Amino acid sequence: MAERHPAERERTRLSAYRDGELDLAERQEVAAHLRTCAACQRVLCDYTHLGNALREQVPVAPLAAMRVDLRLRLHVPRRQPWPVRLLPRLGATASALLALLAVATLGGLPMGQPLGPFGAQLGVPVTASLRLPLPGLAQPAATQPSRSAASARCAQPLPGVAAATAQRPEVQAALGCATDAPRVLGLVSQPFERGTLLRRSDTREVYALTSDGRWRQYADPGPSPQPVSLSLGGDPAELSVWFWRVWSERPDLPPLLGRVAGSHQQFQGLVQTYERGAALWDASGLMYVLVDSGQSLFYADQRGGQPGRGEAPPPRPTLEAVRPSAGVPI
Amino acid sequence: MQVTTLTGLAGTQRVAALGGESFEQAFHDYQPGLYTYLLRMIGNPDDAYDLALASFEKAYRAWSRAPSGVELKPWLYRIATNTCLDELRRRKLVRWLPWDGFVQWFHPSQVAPENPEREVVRGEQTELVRRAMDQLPERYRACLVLRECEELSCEEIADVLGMTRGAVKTTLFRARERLRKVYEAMGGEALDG
Repeated sequence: MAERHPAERERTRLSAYRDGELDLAERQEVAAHLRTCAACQRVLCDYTHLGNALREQVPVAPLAAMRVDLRLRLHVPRRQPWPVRLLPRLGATASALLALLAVATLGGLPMGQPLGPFGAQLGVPVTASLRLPLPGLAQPAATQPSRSAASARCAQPLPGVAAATAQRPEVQAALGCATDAPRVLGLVSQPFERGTLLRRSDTREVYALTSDGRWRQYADPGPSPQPVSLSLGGDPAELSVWFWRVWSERPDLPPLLGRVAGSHQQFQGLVQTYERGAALWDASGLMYVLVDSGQSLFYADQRGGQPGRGEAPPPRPTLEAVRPSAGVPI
Repeated sequence: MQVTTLTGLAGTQRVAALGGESFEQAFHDYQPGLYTYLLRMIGNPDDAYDLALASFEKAYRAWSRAPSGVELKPWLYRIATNTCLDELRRRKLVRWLPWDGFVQWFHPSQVAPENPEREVVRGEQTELVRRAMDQLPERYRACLVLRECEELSCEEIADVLGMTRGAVKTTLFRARERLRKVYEAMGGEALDG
């Protein structure tokens, strides 16, 4: 039985006609046919209307948020494939087995005998530098892990921390190893005469970082329930709604930080926990390092963002420029 | 307002490639289109967002290695398509996810209609078409979305999907036919423009 018109061949041409994929002669032929054939008109209408239905009401992509998220992703080190991750461990295991075999074979150590610490049992001297106390540590040096042991279990640090460590090894000494992977969070910061207020969204804590290289922690009572229009001492910048309550409820803050020195900034950022502190990095490129001992450090990632239009460039302190005053042992 | 740039990340990748266009410009130009393409492909706004991010991350990392003379738009859509298909394979999805996002976000009641009754019917038809799209094989779906929504030419689609131009034309025809049949089988009424 013959296929009903339009047959597959004609429908294929109608589809190509809709896509502009026919040459001039074919296009004229189909157009002429369409003027007289209701069945073909119906098929072409169906193709057109199905396409129109697909196009309708397209959501607008969240451009700004994606830009920030992408930037964060590009800063987080990518996880290595598992063979690469396992190679060092496999190498270490193989070396240890080989050493054991050599000692058992050459030194006459009976196989199966319980082994104590490798250094003692195998007569390998422990390198003196591994036992050197790291500067700036509160704990006794004997309880500190060796550099090799520590680095073996260190998570990959935030790029900003890695850069800081490269410039000043004492930063890693004070912070210790990264203990987890970086996590995304929201950050609000505002500069003051003598420091910065910083709020993190995940734990709802507010930190006051002062220019003497110290920091204090406050529980975040939350933003002001009402819009706040407060000008402190005639300053052009206003206190952020995020800090109004903590500012008014903690009387030690105003004398500690002084007057507002600029408008607040709100970013997505990354936080990473270390053995003895935390590092927070915002998408503008500022890195805040908070050490459990109460010392703080911040600096600008030189690859960071640019100031917004119409605004004066924010201060971009280098690591050296914000080095705490002498006597602070970080 | 703080402006976050993408191009200050790695010096070697700051170099304009791909016909002189910077990654920053490419992100600006194609981010909305790529996101909506992925949303149409996968049907879930959160997944589409993640896939768009992953696609741009791959594009950024491959930017300086892109072959000379490559067309930017098909190149980006190829990355996005492969990212999307890989993700679907990873999840072992046999069928496409439902278009909940569209229903939730773009209920006809949110649009101020000139003719309320007609708009409601039209909204139902559109929703039914999208549900019919769920039934299509992924290649058919990708072809249709790239042609109808992203307005790529058959040659560009061939580039994106790694097919010949003739195969794209055939796939488009079969996809339209399949969509028509599924739509009618689901009780879809004649579509009006």
